[in-house]
Amino acid sequence: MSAGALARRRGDLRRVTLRAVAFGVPVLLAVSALVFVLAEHSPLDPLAAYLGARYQDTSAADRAALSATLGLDAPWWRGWLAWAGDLLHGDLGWSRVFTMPVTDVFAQRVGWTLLLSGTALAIALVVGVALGLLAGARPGGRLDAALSGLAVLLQSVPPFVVALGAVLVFAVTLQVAPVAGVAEPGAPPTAAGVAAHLALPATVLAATMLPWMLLGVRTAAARAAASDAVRGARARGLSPRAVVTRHVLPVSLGPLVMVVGARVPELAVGAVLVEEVFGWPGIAGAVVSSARALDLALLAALTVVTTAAVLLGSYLADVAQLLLDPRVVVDA
Amino acid sequence: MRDARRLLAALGLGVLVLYAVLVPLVAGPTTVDFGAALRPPSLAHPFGTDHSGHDLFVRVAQGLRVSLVVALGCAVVAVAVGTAVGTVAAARGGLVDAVVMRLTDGVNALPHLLLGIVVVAFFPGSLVAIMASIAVTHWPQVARVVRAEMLAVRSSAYVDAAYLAGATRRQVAREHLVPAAAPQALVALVMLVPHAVWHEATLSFLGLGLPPDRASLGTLLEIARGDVLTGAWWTLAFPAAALVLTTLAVSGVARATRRPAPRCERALGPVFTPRGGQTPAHSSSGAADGGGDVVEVRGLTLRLPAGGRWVHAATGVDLALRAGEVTALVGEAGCGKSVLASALCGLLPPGTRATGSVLVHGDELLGAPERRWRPLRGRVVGLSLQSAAASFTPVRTVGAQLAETLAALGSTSSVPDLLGRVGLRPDDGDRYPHELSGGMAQRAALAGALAGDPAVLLADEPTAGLDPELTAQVLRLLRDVADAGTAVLLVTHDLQALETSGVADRLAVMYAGRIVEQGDADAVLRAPRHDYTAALLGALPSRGLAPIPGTPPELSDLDPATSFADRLRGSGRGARVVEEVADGARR
Repeated sequence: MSAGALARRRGDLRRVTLRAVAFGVPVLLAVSALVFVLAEHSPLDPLAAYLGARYQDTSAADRAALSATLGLDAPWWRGWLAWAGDLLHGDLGWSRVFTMPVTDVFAQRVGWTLLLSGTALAIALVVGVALGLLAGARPGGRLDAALSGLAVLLQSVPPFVVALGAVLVFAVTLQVAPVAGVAEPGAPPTAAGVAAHLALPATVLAATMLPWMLLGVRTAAARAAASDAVRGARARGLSPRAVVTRHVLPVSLGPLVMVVGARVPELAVGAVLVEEVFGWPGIAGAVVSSARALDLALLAALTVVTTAAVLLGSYLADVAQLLLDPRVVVDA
Repeated sequence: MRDARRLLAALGLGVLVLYAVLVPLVAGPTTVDFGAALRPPSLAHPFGTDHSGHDLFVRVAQGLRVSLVVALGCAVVAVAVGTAVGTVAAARGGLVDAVVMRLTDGVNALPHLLLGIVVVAFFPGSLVAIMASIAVTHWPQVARVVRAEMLAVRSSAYVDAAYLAGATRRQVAREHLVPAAAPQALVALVMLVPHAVWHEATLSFLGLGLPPDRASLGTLLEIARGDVLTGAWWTLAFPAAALVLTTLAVSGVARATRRPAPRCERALGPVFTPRGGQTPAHSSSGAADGGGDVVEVRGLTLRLPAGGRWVHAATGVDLALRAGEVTALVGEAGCGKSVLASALCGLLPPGTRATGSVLVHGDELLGAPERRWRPLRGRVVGLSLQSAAASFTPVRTVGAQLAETLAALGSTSSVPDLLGRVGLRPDDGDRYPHELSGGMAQRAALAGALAGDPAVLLADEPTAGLDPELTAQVLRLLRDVADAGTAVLLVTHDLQALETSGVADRLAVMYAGRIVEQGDADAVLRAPRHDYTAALLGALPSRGLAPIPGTPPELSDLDPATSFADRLRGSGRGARVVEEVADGARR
């Protein structure tokens, strides 16, 4: 199906890609510029952040000289242009918090974030689709009421409360999971150790995504179950299993993909909070460190990368929609 | 139920607000008392104490107050900005609209919390920065709602009239557009409050929000992070509960102010009442009795639930389908024909009430459970739905769905063979349902129904929307199927085609859920005995195009005594007209 769909959709895919680039590039430029504008108007002295404790020992003349050398007195757009120029050469600047180039920070941490977010997304998708189909099979039934009610309840608990609650119950009280990190203190990470440390944060992150996935699939499945297509499939003598897997599920996938694409920001927020609570050494947790310490280079890079991830998410959702549903047309 | 939930939400919100306002007033500022640190809940401290010995019952109230004030402030700013932007876009239109909405999309595409973190990082501890960071990321949704609402009004007649009367764009915006969008903006305001509560709580939790001396719920939860590791569950539980309950209560109230969504019918299994004295459903007396009647319907009455009313879809229907014969079931749209066809395939909507008898090969199937119907569908009874194209799943090719049907029914024939049988080309199977023309869709649906060579074919309006030539082809196909020994039920409103093609052996005429006349097709067409049949025939182009007086009756909560004569009387014409119509048809 996929190869055929790709061939059919070549023109549409090109158009969607062009549109995404035309929309995304200005947004990314604007967001990165915004970081520099905010920095200029911040009441915090960037030199104080740069010098740290030595700030007190530096004379006013030295401070002025240093500001000039570092380009801290220049208007924001100079700093921004310089940053953008370096970016084109693959240089993202120096992270003060982690005392290494920003590119190295990314190299060390992106893998951990992908491991955590990918695992959580996979768990949430499998569980969300399965439970959503179950709830949608009999809308208004007891199972539906129970599952939808639980989903709505879980949806109104903030991710960091879920994370703290999980730590309290599973790590502190029951002591079945480690409190934080990817390995025991001082020990190098091993596959088994990482898996043990991954279980709780990944489950928590999945739990924060589960409600809207479940509710989204449920609505789509309920609509599909009441459709003529399902009536037709039943009239043709298909088994209930075949009706669900080959008729309800395929038409429910499109809406699911759209909702996942639109919720990438929430996935990013969840990742930030879960990595923060569980001391996970990923890139999302670095957002908080860089913000607390006003690590401009790292913060700018993280802002742009996260925004790019969000834009990429909605672009991929559009692409998936084109391949999944032959009826979708690209407007304008 | 729904009202009770609204009331509960409003009450809950009231209690929370009272708690947040009154408790800090009565209790005054809490004091640091390390001697009373981390005490579990007790009578003196109902929520326990934190690691500085603060009473959490008071601290949570203070935190809730801060959270609510900050959230309300954010929501007001966001709604003000959004309304202003939406108004400008809607009132100016054209290029301004396009640019402004593009900008709105751009801001909306940004990850909200991240932007909040960036803003707050540069202005730490600033309440203005926190409110600005939340407002700046939440106005686009308001702008979109407001603009949509205003566009609807702008194109309305009274706004045109205002322009014609010489009103300026500003006046129209102030007097017509803003008032029209105000209710939606208010709903948006309420909906934004829980968002803003979360947002602020998240920033504070990450240590980027308000300082501890102005603690919000988020700040309390940040403090709880350390205490939780010592097992002090109450430091987490009570602030978290306040946060969750506030979210639930505010969104409950917000949902109550929104336009009500259409309610879903509660799904129940069909309710069946077998006719008194009927033998139990499991008697298997074989096909011998009934003399070639594959399907026998006796006294079938169907009542379908529809929003608290009952649709009288069928009343006392008697009908027999014989092997090798085409039985046509005719009547105007909405007279219950399709429901009858569904009943013969066991596909009645949930909650349907049915009495009477449906025998297939002599087995009573009315009210039979799904597991008895399933092996019959496709194999013994095939049904092609009226909405032919929609009866296939839209995201898979027709060929794939026919192949799946053949496999499920254990048929040895192939998709190209099956397509050929209904007059489609093999490569038509590669098409998606929406790519089929009307005639192709009807034939594909018939192919699906014929895949298992069923003893009974129920064809629901297989010629709807087809031109005469295609209609003739489809009817010829049905004739061939019947001639091969299948009992065919042809549900149609197209009497003209029936008359022209002579495809039907028997003809049953349905009016308001009742069979008013049935018999040999030629005889009924030639000499109708019922006025309604006569009126139907009289409306045909070949017979003078005399319109049937009045309109078909609504089947919801239908008076059981309703007859066609009532309709003629109701149309303001007397019995003379009845006779005229009948005579016209008989001529």
